[in-house]
Amino acid sequence: MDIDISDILADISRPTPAPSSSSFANTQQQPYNDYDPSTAHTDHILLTRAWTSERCTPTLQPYPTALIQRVMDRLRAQIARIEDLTSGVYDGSGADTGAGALSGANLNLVLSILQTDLSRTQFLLRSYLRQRLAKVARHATYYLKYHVDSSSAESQGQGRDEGGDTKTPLLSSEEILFLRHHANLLSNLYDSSFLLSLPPNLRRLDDNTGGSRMDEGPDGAEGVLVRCLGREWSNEREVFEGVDGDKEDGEGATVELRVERGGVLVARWRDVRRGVERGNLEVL
Amino acid sequence: MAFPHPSGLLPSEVAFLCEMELVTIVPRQRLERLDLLGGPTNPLIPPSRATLPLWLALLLKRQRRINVIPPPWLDPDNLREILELETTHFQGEFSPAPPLPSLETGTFPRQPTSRSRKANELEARLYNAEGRPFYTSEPFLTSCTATALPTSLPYHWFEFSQLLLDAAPDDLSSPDLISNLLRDIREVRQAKMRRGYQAINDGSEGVILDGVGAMEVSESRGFIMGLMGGLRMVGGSREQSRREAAEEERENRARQEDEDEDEDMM
Repeated sequence: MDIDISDILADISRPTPAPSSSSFANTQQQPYNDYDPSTAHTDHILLTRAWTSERCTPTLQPYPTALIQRVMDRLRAQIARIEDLTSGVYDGSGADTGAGALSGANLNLVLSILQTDLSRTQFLLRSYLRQRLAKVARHATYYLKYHVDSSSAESQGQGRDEGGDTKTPLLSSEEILFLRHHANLLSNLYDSSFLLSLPPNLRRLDDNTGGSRMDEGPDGAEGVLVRCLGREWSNEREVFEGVDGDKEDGEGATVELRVERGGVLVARWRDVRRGVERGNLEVL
Repeated sequence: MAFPHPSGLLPSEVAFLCEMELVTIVPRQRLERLDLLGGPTNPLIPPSRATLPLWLALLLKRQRRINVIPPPWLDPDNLREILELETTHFQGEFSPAPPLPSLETGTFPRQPTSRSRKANELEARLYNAEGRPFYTSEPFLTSCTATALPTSLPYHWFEFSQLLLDAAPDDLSSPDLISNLLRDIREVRQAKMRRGYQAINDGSEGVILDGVGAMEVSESRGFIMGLMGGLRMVGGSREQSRREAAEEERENRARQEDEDEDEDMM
């Protein structure tokens, strides 16, 4: 029998509401009975893609709050499940969960598979979050000034960086907390070690007078590799409409590009950024 | 420091991604469906074939619980043909990668894609948990299963073949010959990559790199990005004037439109 990808996809995207819930009927008190195979797979794909683009691009991408929340919940449930299997609490009546009729060697096999899977997802998530923290910390003043403070001041959410789609915040609440603490610690350190001995007008960390910026943002002109996933992609419209929104960053697209489905392109991040955010391009 | 690595995937991370590729296997023992974090696996019932993610297949293979069916492009004859393609037919560029699943049917088109695609994009897309569609892509396609195209190298070709040669040489028809051919292909493609560096500019126009492999991206990313950065520094002033010219043109256009409107009013 040959299993085709479309079968797998059809199987996965079937909208059955969590078939595992019935098989776990006798373990209702367990936290892992809400495993939903249809979102598990797509969340995995999207987390992988989010990780790749975070690893390969200079700027921070919007934080997928719901996605991370689901993956976290799933991780927690899976850890609980592994613990139960290890301690032998689970009596194994869920036939289609792989935990059914387990004994000896097979239980060990399933456990090792589950743990490998767990570690892989944990690595993905950890690497993703750490990469984000590294970016936040590197350009702390910039993000604090232009994203956290400005968006909390004008809480209507208009004019946020992500041109149009203001629903997804750039930073999660934990990251904002981290950013504030980080910036605080840093400015305290600088103050106590040397800034306080300077004249008062030279003490600011975000001084933009004199033509050179101190709150340097990420470099939008850095190169990235992208592949076109949509039928065709081009940024003519964006270029035509010009760099509006955040002119001070110079983040708008300036170079006209066009690529067909499957094509790979080396280009500047700011020229392809909107395409990546809309899902027409993927970062390699 | 939160994260010490530079931007861009490390080779180990590329291999990690490659381990998510689907691969066709023949199980030697039963294994029920497992609800993994990356989605449920197919139940394994000997002797019928199944597809599994590569990492799981390798784990089971090391315990001799399954046999891997290598993708058709990893066959010596097909590799020879790919080498031929790379050396003679596509001298200046990489041989084309397998096409992404057709937006019409969701399976790989047997012929190079025609230009007349219709509106039905459902199959090559999935829906996320919020119900918004997104495109599927490597490594979650079937470019390394037994149904893959025989004569085009998928994105993760290098890592995939190395992992398979390492863990499952007994499932390949002649591992030594295969690794020799792979080395030849790699050298041809590396030479192309080096020639391709000449096209790199400061980013003022896009450079096409169709058909490039994941490991090739990983190993030359630093060089390409450094080159672009250097060229940008050299040509910084020209870029600035170009930007101003574009701005001016846009303003002119806006003014022109205003004038047109005024004329219409009169």
